[in-house]
Amino acid sequence: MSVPPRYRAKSRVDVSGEESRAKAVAVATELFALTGFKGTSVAAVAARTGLSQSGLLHHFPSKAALLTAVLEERDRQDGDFLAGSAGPPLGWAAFDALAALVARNSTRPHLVGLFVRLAAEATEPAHPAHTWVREHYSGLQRWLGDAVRSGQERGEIAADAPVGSIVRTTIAVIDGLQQQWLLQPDEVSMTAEFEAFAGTLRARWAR
Amino acid sequence: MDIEKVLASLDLPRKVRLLTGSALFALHPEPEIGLASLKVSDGPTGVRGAELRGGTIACVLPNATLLAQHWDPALAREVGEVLADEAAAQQVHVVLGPTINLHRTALGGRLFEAYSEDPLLTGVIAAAYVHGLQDKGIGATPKHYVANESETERRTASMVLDEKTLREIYLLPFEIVVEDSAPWAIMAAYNNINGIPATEHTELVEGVLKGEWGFDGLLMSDWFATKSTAASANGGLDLVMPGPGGPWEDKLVAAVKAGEVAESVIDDHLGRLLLLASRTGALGEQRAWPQDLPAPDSEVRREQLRRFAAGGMTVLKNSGVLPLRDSSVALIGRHAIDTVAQGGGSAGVRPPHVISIADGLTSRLGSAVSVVDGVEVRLRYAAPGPGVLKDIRATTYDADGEVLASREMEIAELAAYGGWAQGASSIEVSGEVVLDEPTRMLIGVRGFGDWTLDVAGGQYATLLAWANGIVEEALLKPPHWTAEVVLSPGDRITARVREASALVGLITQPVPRAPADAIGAAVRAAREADVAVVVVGLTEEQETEGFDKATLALPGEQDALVAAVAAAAQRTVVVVNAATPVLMPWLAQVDAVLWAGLPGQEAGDAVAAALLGHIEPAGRLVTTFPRTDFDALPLIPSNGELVYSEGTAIGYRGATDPLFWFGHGLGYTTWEYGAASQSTVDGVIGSVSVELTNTGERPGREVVQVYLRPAGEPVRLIGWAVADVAAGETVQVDVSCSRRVQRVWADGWQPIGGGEVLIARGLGDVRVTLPADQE
Repeated sequence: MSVPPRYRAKSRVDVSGEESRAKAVAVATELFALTGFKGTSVAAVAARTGLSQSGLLHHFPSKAALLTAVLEERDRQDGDFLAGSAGPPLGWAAFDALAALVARNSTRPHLVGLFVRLAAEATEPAHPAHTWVREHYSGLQRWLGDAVRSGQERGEIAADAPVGSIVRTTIAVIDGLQQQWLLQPDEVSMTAEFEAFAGTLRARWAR
Repeated sequence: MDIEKVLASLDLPRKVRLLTGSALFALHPEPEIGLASLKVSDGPTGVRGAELRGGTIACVLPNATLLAQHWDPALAREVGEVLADEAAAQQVHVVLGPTINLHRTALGGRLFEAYSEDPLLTGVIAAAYVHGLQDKGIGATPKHYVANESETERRTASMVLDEKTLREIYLLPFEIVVEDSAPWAIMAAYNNINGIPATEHTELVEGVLKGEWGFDGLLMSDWFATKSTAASANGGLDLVMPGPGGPWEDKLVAAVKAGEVAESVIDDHLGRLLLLASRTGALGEQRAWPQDLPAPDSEVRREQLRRFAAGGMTVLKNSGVLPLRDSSVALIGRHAIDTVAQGGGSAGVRPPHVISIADGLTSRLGSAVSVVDGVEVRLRYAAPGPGVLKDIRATTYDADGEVLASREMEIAELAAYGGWAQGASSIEVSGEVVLDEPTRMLIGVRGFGDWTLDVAGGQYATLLAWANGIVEEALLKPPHWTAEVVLSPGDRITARVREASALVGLITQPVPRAPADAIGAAVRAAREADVAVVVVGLTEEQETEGFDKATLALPGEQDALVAAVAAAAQRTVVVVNAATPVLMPWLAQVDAVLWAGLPGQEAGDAVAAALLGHIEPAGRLVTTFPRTDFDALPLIPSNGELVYSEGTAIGYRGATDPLFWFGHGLGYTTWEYGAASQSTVDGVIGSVSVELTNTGERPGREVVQVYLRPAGEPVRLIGWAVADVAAGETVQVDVSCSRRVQRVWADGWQPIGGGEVLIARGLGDVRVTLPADQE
């Protein structure tokens, strides 16, 4: 069965520009994750997207631009995952949300691997993702800082809790667990280890 | 009735008129020759009737893969009998099914309607289903002839495959069904095969189907598929659907007069149509329709549908946590509450009810179950129904604003085309929101058209233009517009649309919470319980006619939900409410996986029966599960052509190290295989016999699978048998093996030689190996 002939306008699927762009980003994410940034060609992304190479370059002028789009899309998706339309979780709820994020990362080892490698490489100022990696970390620090201060204002978190230190060690634990989990996926449970870490924070600073 | 005589009594225009449908799902009557209007109806999973949406209430059966997972022709026959009764209750003569295209790649969007990746299993199941229908006087329509394995560009793409691949794989289910069950009709596909439309493929229709195999039934087109006049009529197509309109009618009369089509060709088509009418009781003396059939929600039907669903469910992994014996269960996931009973697309059926998994398990275990909603699973919006809106009403208006018709609705969605609203100048849909207190809600509209929306004192307008011309979008993938507003009890949402196309619907739902927040709630519930049962799945957004999948990953943040719960719970069972393979990045972290399919209207009761072991989920997979998206064959045509480059190495035949093999399924007991022997005549294995012991503590059902791995050709299933065995008992199982998969096509059928016979529980668990050539 199908729809009425009145709507049979075109013979070939004509994917709109927005859809092609989104699909290219999804394909590039998968290919970067599986074969690395260096090992992925623009041609391979174009082929899997169903675009010509020039069609892809129309959306993304270079491979570096594609990488930036992939990373921005990842941050956008992480943001939606954590916050939805209601605004970011604050207080201890932020740490529950981070635990869910860590669980989510545990289902996508290739993407975590891509991020870990890129984040290390992109500390180099000349790297195409250098601006992104700086903004990524400063954004994370701002949110977690707000979360802890908000917890203090609400009385969930002790007023004398060291905000900056809690923020930096929390990020360090997540990054360090990712690194170890990539090396020993069957022995390290990022989710359980992060839960344990959040538990010690609560035990020390919850009110 | 003498069909020759009838043909002679009609002139050419009257004959040709009968060869195009009279409506979306009906054929022309011709009182002069005693021909009633034949009624046809979609469906493989239920007999929908003539309305695309909101029509007659009918049984929604488990989907095709779940039925096929029984590997049991006797059950398939019983399914056909139920569908025959459902058709008779609606005075439908012909059911448009079964779908016997194959699962070429797991990315196919419509695989939920098709049985399997294996041509023998597909053909045998389909033949039994056809017998079930036709023995009760209802015509079956195996479809879509042929090579219609994916949906992308389905109307125009040419499937490129060599004759060996066609013969050994994609034609084989049709060959089996024609030779073993003589269907009264077959449907020709949308696509082209090697450049020639399926609706005018003389070689495959006149040559193979009607010639070699002796098919004496009627070949109808898929809906709006016919692209030509003379070429399709001469190519063996007997009936253009739907009508009125299309490329035949007057044009075909003219073609006959111009000598492009012989009148004898018209007579042959009409003769086949009259034979179908005669077989279904619509020619001459009319059939009597039974009046005392069980209702779709009768106890007899509910028992059958539970059994059809639960027995086909498949245990993919089990550390011993199943069947459930725990005292407290955290039941988690949107699919637990909003269980998906059927796939998407034109074949959707309106059920009397859908038992959710939450209701099914709670009715068995009571307060031991705590239910927690999971993450969002849809990117698009579902039609709001009872519980969300009440007093739902649709009203159609003419161009002057006069009311044409007004109806109460079950759900706030209707078809602007092909139903009672067709032809209206504008359509209004409204409903009163069901709320206990003022709540921030997401409201909006779905479908192409020029909309106005009145809600809670606000007025909105939006134009959803039908812009980019993808054929299926109008009905199956409508655009939407939404806003967040605070609604109070008693507020009414009223939307009116002008220039609507296929679908008209409202959106009303709570503003979705952040996935991390929903996962946090699930994790807290999981910590409190003895066992967490997480229900995940696909929806009609992935499993649908008209569209293929871009990924096998579960939609939304369901993978994260499972991983988070598995890290927190004592034990975790995952129930997958989907028909076709999904990726399982959390597989190593969970204790059990139950593959539940699309279980139909009794879904929740069937899942509960399977989880608790009241019915053994004794299914075996009917398709091979890839580990990653990259392991699934791509299905995007290039320059209008999709090359079946894997040839005959479809599914398990070409797989190495899949996530799960075709044929895999653990059930609830364990099996030991003993001495085996085979009987071979003239180089063809006729049967294999093996000693089988149920070594577990429960009675169980085994599917003994016999494969042949010939030298130089892909491994293939050649036979199977189901055996019900009590705990501790040993039985002798005889498996009869099909000749039809023990041959190769090389300018005609040639014998296959040598190799090994494997008795296996899926190719990942081979139990016995025998040389193939011992006489």
